[in-house]
Amino acid sequence: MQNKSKISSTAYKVLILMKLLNEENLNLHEISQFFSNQKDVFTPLSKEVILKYLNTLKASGYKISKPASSNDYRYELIKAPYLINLSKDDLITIIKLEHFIENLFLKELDNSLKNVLIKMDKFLPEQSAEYYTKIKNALYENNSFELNIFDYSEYAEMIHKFEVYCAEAQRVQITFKIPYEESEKTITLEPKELNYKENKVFISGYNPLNNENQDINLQYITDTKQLPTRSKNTRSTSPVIFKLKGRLATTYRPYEGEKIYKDESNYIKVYTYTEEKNNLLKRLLKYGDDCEILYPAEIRETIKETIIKTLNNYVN
Amino acid sequence: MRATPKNDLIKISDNISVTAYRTICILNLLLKQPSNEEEISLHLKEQILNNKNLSSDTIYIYLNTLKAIGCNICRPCKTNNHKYVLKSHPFMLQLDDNDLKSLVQIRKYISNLKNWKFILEVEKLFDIIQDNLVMESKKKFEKLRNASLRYPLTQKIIDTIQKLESHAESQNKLEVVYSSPINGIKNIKIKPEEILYENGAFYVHIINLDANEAQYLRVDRINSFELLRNYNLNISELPDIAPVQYKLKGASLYYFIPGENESIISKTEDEMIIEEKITNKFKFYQKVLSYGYDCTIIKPLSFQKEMVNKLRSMLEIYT
Repeated sequence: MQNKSKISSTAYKVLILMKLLNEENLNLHEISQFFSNQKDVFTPLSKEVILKYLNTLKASGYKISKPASSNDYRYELIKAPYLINLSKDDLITIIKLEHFIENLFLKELDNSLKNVLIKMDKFLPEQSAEYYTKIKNALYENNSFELNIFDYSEYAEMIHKFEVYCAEAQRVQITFKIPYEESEKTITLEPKELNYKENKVFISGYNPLNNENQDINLQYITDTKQLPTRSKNTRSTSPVIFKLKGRLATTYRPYEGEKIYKDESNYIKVYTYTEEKNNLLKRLLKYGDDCEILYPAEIRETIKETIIKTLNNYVN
Repeated sequence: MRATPKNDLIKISDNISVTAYRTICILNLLLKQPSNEEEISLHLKEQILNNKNLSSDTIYIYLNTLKAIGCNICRPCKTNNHKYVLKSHPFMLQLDDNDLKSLVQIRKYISNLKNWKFILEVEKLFDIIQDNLVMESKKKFEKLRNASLRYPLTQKIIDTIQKLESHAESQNKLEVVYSSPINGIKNIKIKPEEILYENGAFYVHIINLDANEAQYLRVDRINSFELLRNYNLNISELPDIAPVQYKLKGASLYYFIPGENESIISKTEDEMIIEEKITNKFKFYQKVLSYGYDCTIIKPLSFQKEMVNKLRSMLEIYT
């Protein structure tokens, strides 16, 4: 609080109370506690003074709920002093967004979105809230979202399991069997995030044993076990380095986890740390002769072998 | 927009703080519109029964109180028509770091949908949310959003997308000024077909009327365009869609989902023959190359030869 002599102390305290209630619901004790905790700024407020301040807010047009057991005896500012105007289309976008996240079966993310919407609700005019409910019912009734989301319901349980693993940042032992490979594999993974590609869901993470990033299709996972070791939140320390030339060099935009270095006028060098090796190889093959893998030698060799084997497809 | 005040005039009583009430009245007025001292005074008179005329000094005290709480109020001057303007205030939406990160994470998942219309709708919604956040959250959200984009999405790009879509629906022909990374700025006569979203960028699938071939232009590289009103184009002049057959085997069989122009000709446990009607050769070769040795072009021969040339040229780099 600056220039105390030039402001109204009472008005300031009422505005502070309005700001507090705009951010969270509080009971009389919590309000009193807040003012008491800042003795250098405020004198402690009696219950009567707080009630008078609340009355002032009500008189100013703000609806404040009465404390009751249903709201844990807290005062709630029903609508914020400042309301956000959303068009009908914006409200439909919110509903589509909710529907989309629900269908990814990411419970934590779904809860986070709901939390944001609860916070936003206070800022929406009453007619917006009514329209939101009406249109939501209609969209769900007719299933007219037009989003073309793949059906991930068969992975719902596993998606949630990995979402928790990612949040808890613990290493996980994963056993999986890829249909075109003979035997099962068991690896240790520091899970980072779930990725959706077309109708498949992958758990992406860092394998500390081979120092590589790895994506595993949930469909092929046969067993998981959370290990008592915490993830070190690391990523592959050894980058894959590739060189781009021509049009690609001038237009290339780095993907997540990539850094670009320009060392010659016609070339750029890209250092990539996070992309899974097989996905990266597929992407770099797309770039044709505009791309050369420089490091490490084994990936350079892998791409060379891939090119030779592909050429062999056309012999005879 | 602000909360609806009571219609009845307020009586000065012991039950409320009149000073606070007046200060909130000024806040509500400034939330609605910029106002000068006279308008503020008049507004207060309209709100309180038997309200006396307030001195300028008293109004300054109320305004200073609002500033003390965190309102950014511009002083009256020529540029703002001598009115007090509320630039920002602490009563806006507050989202914590977890909320903001979740929103950015959600947008990342949406981009996998490749539904460009929904992507734009969500961007518009996020713009509104960002504009209505308290300053600290606003800066954080803006930073997170920008950091997560491979290509910045500007209003100009959004406008161009919407206009191109409308021209595609009307089957109009256009002359676009395109900023090519290789050839610099050039004019291209096009027939826009559809908008696409891929790898973080918006593209328009077009028929290049001069080259008579299907191409993809990145929307952010289109500087401007004009409608070609008297351009005669016979449908038969449109590029042929070449059918190409290729064989898939191995791991790629498990990941293959037929695209719009693809159909499965035959399928066994070990391999699949696919026919694709090619509209863009560049994209086709990119896809086939990404399959590696799991894929072989079967016909026509010209495509096989071109593929072999591409592979030889790639191999040269590593030998």
